[in-house]
Amino acid sequence: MPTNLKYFLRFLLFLLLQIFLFDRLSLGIYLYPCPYILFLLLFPFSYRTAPLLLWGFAIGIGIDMGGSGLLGLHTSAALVLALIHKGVLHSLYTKEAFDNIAVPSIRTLGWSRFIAYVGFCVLIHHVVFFSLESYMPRFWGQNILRLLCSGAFNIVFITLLSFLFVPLRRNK
Amino acid sequence: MPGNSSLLGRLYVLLLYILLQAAAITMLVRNSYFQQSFIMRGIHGIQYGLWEKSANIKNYFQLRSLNRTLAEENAQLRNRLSQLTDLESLYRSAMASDSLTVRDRAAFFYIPAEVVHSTTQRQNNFLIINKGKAQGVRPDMGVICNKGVVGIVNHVTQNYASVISLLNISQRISARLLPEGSTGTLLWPGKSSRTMLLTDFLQHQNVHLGDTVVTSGLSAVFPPDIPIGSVSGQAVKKGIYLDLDVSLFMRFENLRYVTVAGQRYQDEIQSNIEQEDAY
Repeated sequence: MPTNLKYFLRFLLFLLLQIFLFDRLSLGIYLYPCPYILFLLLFPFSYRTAPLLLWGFAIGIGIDMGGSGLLGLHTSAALVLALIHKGVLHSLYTKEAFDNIAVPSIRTLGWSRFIAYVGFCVLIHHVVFFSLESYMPRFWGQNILRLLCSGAFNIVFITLLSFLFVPLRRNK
Repeated sequence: MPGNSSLLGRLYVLLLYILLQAAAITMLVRNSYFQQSFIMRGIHGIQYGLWEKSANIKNYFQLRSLNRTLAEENAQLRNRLSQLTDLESLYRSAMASDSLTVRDRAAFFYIPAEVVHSTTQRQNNFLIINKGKAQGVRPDMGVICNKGVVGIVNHVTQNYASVISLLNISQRISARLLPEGSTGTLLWPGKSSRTMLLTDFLQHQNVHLGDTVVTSGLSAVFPPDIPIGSVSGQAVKKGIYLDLDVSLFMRFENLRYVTVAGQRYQDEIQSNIEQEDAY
């Protein structure tokens, strides 16, 4: 399958899941599942930042337009994520071991580094998202709590979800 | 870094990022403007229709409880109607020489609508209702239900309208505390879908637990004296003002039938306000 088609199908899957399932769950204000973050995290090490920014913009604006909330909220957070994606990977992985086709996963990065990767990216995304959603000083206390709860939940959820896309062991 | 190791490559990425991020922030800041754009109108046309279908399926399973709520509301309205009919006849006899009738003088008209889609878990919650421009709904009209205030119409399409919910951190409405009747600003502190905060309330009044909060009628968006909720916590002093926790009478989670309240003289009031502003 051509890689761009694969990315596009993955894009549709995450977009539809977010709009029709996860945005419509009523889990209270402290839990907001954002599995679409994984869409941007699954791009290979060698993927260039410019097209990744376009993918980030596309999935962000798709989710914004599919919901009834504020336009630009997910777009902005996804763009920041696309921008830092490469830098985070580089800080976690040595250049010598850099494989051009490798996809970030538990298998290629190892447990601790993969969770650090997911954790850092999710936190950056959430900081941008929650501060843009309600930037008034009145809400700082509860926003930090929301950030921590949603962040912890999404890190575990996205790590588990990543097994569906990259298997733990090489097949055969 | 293969691909963009050169300075020019990095600059290109940075410029692209700034461009896209600027577009995102512009949409965020001028949200209501972009919601009415050509593209969004097309998307809403499809989306709202889909939501209405799925709401219809969901509501089918709640018919019994909905029926009960409607019957209760019917009874309340009948009582109110009988009171008002008495008043009207009194009024008519007093104004026998006047050519205007009571009906002509009513400042508000009402359009019944159904909720097609709503959120309660975000910080900026919205509802979509199934009446729009074609049925006379316009932006800035108030939306109420039998148990209180729902929100204010944000933008309209041909047959649907998007309503900024009371549960939206950027929403402010003017409210009055009974029995003394002094006013304050009601806002949502973003936590529970059942509590609001009454702020800018002058300190020297007596406040008791359970006092009722109603709409003030000062804003010309909502009719006056619609019950919203009751005082549920101790007052907190903020300078010369008090902050009061208000527990809502309404449950946003299973809201189905609402009423859009249109101010008959909205244009006239608006043009007066603009004239005042001009001076």
